Amino acid sequence: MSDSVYYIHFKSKTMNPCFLTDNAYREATSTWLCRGCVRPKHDTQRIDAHIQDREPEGPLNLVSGCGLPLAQKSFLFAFGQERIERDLYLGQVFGPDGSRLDDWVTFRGKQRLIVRGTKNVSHRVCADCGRDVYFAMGTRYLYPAPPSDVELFESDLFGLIVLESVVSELEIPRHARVVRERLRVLKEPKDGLPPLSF
Amino acid sequence: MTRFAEYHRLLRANLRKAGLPLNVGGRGGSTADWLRYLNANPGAQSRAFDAVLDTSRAIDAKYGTSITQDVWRSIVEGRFTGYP
Repeated sequence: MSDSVYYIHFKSKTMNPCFLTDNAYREATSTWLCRGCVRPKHDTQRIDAHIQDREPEGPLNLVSGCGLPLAQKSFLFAFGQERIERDLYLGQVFGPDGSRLDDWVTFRGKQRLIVRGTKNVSHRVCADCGRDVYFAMGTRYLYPAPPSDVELFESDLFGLIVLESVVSELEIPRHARVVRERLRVLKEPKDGLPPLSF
Repeated sequence: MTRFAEYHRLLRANLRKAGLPLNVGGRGGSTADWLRYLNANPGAQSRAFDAVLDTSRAIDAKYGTSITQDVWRSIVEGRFTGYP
């Protein structure tokens, strides 16, 4: 693939993440949550979340402590319902009193990508599940090229990665609490690491 | 400068001193950035807590506030995500 292919990374700026209720956290640790890397286990698909918050800060957020991204439906479905249903697993979100937060969903990419960087690079392999756990600062990019038959990916920064040509065809609402980063696909990584997956 | 701004400026300096390169909020300093950093760097969370406590003690000593006590209460009550 040419290195002129770009993707857009939609990522939350929030400093106010959500937290699972105590019961939900206990259930997660005994079922779908990997304790070694604080992310859903590989084979996990749809996840319903019971959170302590009544009004999460939108339109993108995350559940801290379990690696689970959240989105407001009104924002997420701007990417197209068919595309969303094809490329993401969606779960329901419930507030502290057990009532469903109708405008919120959890999402989990059927394909997930690590956003690579150039500085302050650190990497480990989860001893429990074998997943790559990665951090880097500096210029962000993708490596290797994502599969071309997928249009929406979950990022390891709890965001969404979408092919730029797809974004340009859509009217995705701008939001002050959502960063849009343009990610180039590189032929060679700048962090000295091989292809990574999470 | 407000106490809040002073706290954050000192916290950023103490985090840097402890070898933690991220901002607190703003570009490259969101919750998502911090969670990714703490997950990939075992032991970093403990150093971050120390930086927060050092900062809180300094502000408490200067203004007579009780931030340190509140931070300790949050830690003791487990109101944080534990990373390896």
